[in-house]
Amino acid sequence: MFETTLVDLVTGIRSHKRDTALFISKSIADIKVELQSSDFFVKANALQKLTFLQMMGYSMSWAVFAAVEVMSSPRFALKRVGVLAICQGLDSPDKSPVVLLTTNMIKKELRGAMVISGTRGGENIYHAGLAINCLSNIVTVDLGRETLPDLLQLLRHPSPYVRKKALLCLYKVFLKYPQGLRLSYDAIKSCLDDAHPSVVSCAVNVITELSDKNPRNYLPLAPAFFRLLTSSANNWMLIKVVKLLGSLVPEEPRLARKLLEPLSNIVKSTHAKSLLYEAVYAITLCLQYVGLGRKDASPSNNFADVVELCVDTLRSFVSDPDQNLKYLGLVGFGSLLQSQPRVLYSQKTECRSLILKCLSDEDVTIRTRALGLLRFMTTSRNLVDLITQLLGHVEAASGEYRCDLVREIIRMCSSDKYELVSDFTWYFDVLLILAGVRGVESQGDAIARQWMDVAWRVLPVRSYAVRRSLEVLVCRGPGGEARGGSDGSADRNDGHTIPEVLPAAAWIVGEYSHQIPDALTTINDGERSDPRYDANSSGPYHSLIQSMTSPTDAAGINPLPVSTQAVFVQNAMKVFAAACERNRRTHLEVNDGINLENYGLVCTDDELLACASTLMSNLVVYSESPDVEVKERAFTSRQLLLAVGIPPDFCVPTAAAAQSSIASKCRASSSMLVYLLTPEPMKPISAKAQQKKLLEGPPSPLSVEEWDQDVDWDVFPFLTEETPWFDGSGNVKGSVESISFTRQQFSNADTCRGDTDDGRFGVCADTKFLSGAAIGNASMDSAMGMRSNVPPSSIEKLADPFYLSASAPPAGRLLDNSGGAGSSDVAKDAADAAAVSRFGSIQLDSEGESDDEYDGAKSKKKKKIKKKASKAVASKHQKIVESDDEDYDNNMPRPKRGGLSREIHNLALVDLTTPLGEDDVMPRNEHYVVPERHVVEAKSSPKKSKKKKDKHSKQKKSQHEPAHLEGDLLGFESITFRSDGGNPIDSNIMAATAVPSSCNNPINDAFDDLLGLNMPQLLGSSNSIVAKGEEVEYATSKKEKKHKKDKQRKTSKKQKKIQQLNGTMSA
Amino acid sequence: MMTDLDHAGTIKSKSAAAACGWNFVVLMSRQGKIRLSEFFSSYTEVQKKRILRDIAADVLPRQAKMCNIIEKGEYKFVYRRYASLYFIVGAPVEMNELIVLEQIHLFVEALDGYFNSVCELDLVFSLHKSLMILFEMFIGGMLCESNKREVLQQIVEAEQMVEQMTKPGEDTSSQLDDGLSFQEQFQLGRKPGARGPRGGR
Repeated sequence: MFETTLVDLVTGIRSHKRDTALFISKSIADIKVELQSSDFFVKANALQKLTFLQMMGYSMSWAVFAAVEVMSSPRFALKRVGVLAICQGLDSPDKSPVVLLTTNMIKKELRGAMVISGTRGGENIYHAGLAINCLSNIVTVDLGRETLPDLLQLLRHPSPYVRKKALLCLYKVFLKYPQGLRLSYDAIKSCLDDAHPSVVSCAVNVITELSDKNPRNYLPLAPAFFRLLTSSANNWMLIKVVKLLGSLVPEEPRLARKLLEPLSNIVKSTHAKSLLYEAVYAITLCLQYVGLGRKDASPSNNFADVVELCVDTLRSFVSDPDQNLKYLGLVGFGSLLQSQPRVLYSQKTECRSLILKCLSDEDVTIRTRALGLLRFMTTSRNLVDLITQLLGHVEAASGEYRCDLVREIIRMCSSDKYELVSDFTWYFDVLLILAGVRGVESQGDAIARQWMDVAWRVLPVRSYAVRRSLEVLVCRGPGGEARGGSDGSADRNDGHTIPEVLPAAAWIVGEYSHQIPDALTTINDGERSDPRYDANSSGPYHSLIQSMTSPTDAAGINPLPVSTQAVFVQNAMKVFAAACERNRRTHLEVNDGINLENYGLVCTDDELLACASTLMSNLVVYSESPDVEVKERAFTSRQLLLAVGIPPDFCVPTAAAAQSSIASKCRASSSMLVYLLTPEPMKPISAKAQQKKLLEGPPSPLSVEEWDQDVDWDVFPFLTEETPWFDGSGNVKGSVESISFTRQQFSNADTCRGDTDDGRFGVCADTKFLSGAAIGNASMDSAMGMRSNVPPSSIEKLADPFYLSASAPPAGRLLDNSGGAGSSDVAKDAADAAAVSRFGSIQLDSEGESDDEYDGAKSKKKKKIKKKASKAVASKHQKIVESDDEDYDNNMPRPKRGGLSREIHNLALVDLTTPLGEDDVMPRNEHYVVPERHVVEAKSSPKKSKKKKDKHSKQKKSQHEPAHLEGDLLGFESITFRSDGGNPIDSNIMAATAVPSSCNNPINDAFDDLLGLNMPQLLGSSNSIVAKGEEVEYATSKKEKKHKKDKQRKTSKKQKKIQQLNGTMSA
Repeated sequence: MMTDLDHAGTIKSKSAAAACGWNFVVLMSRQGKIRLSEFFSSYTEVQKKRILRDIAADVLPRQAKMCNIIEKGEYKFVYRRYASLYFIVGAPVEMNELIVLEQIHLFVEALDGYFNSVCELDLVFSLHKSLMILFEMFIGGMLCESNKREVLQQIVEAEQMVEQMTKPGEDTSSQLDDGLSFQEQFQLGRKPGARGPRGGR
């Protein structure tokens, strides 16, 4: 048979450029045939080709068995091909049965290496090397356990080649078989004193790798490594030693002080950059812990020198033309700043400018690192300048780096409660620009949060925020983009806004809708800008409502996310409420003859009507939404509007008289709308205040009268109106049955009786709940959602008690046990608490910061930073100390990486500090010897309940195979015990079955009862006796008795035997 | 590395700073063809595919002036380019990048010494040999021997064994004794060829 070699295959693939896949599939078919061959050379050749194809991405797991076959060949060349094929082809050794087959081969090779003399003596080590290579690739738990003793044996092999390999392979074994670590730790430790330097290096390697998983185990080795650090000259090894010692520092902070000197000696003396970097990096680690070891000791005088040395070295790295060194320098600075955050402030500006230069490097890796350092260099003076530059970078950047930039900008500005920001108008503009950047959608939430945060905490920029948000919203409209360049939003690029910030904008506009007129007039030098949504917009309020209720976005295509829609609906209502309010006020003022110009914007009747009609028509669309939240809010809002008195099919061009009446209705109800939707300004509540309230638990139940005091009943004029919720015949409108679960529609015609007394109560409950809940919008919505089946024709639906008694029992319960009412109370109280908490609104000084002030602030800041840094280090330290066991579980950002992290975790669990116990023995392979008798073991577990069970099973067994009684030694004890307690043989039959002697234990009694019930049935069925009642019982119990006697005899015999046996043993 | 700025910009703590073995090594040509790949840590097929894709996307387009390190969260690519061939190593974040670069260079020097001024074609046509050299030098991703001369000597010695054991024209069927198939011998617990006339030397 003619076989193609690997070379043929490769040339073939290269020549078949067109139909490579076809050629390869043909080759694989050939290989399959070749693997069937009995000739090992043919097989090996096929495997070699297959290994090549595997590298190209073709699976070869189907051929691993052949690889094992080839591996079993005594020829080194063939064996090597087989090993390679197994290493490459075996995807998951843990699952593959083939690994089992290799166990003995590998063991044989490892043992063979110990045979040094003879013709194959020199070659054996290479065979063993091959086996170790293979083992390190395919090791599993079983394989590790099997080969561990042999590997340890190899650690004493005369050839360093084998020692090295075995040592490194041990690490791979431990990953899979962590139990082995304890057994072989001493052997590894002894390798540190090996005569051959490269073996020592390998031992250091393995220990370094192991200590990565659980450093505490290796603390006792610190002196040995310290000696290596000061004596060794091998750079390869020194780097690992430095690394290892660095990893021990968090475990033993006292080590940090000791290490500083030798490390700085290395820094001063070495020429190897890699060692230099490693040493500097270790110093930066040590610096984090120097202060922690002895609190009383002030930093020694060489401390400052060490920092200086670090900074100098790192600066030389950063200024190096080699990009790798530049990168490492930045990483080193990042580590140094963890412990010495002031270094870049105090240092000459040279350092800062170097890092700033790295920001414009063309390499993303370097830019990202430099970006991370930036926040250590910002002051309130250079913040504006820096951010302005960074914004330019945002424009130019792309991909992930762009997001990094945005994140960093937000972080720099918002750090320490906006410590550095002095002009919030500017910051709001920055946020606005960021929101307009494309490709940073992942940061949208952060921007939106900042946006809202600034708006509600900083009073002076609130109206500005409203104005900007209004522009953002309105510019989404078809007319907005055209004007985008001309008015205030010129700095935003082409009107694009990240969709994530739209809810924030909507919330600001809605929550502070009473500031809309201020926002539009006062800013921009008194010149009033008048953004419009589209040609039909009749004013800012209308534009806003149009923007927020149009179910499609500007392009008219992709609908907004439902969460945004829900926010929009809610805030459109708020804006409408504000519009009504404004209208009423100006209306009154006209009547009072006050100059309108002072109040700026007027909401005309036309605009109000336009708002109402837009709302009415668009809310219908929203209430068809598949999303529950949107549907609920839209429906509720629409019902509210209907309640106000706007006809359902309302549109603008109606008769003038009707218009004015509707407008006046709106105005009349404005106070109610405002009361419901924006009852009082929201305040930021600190998490702490909230937590305190929760800890206190819900307040005591409030009486209805108490609630009364909080509710401004005047805003619900219709409650006092004399409109009965009964229809003419005294029937209630609507019923439970009329509620459709699939489609919300108006219930009609169906009528049923209602209980008037309950109803009266329901009115109070309802409205009170409402007023309480109105504090938070969410609960407000849920409260309104309960009444979503309100009949539209009745203006009283809010007060309709039917809905409380029938569809909203929770509201009734709320007042009864006050659990829920308590929660709303909590919210209210928390809001009060927030008013006095330190998280209140930030008040800004309008004067510019003078230099003197700045200096004072700086020194204060320094102190603060110092405190913070030490706290941070302390907490970090604590975390590490605690987490060495479950570190890999706790580390959230650590991504999953197959089974590797689990392996590491297991390895970390191994504790080397405790000495080896009795049971810690090397796994040994022995033939399984069947023990003849378990006499001693049987005696060691005299448990009462177990005994009974045993007896039970024995009784069953004895029924079928009485011959086995001889061997049943577990049952033996129960019998002896019983014979001590009484004489069951003579007792009556029922007692024998049901109550065998031990009545002192109630559990036993219960169990015995069970026995008594079960046994007859069981025995009856097993004997297939078809009889009735007592007869069966009698028969079975008789049998039972007989067996018991039988047993008794036999066991007593046995007892004698055992006593004899014990006698001989003790003798 | 005690604490570090991770990719997300938040400070996360790492257990320690000690990892000193490669996770994987990939040799990739400028055109994105894989010349050799070995994964020392256990990765699933999907992860391997993603790593290879990442390499092609991240490493190949980089210019010579850029640094040789790309951070990828938990691991990082450290690469070195020789002519048109990239040697890409996946190393743990904690590992010293310069050491990785040195190790790559050592591997290349070993290849160079073995193939006598190595070129990409050498690697393509004798994948098994370059893999063998890799395995001789690195066990589980950890460097076994840092002395170049010693590495080469071991490789050459092992290779001589191969040479003398594979004589052309050898009657390979003599390896199998008494006409039993391999499976049958295996079931008997025997090593095939162990008692053959020439197999057992």
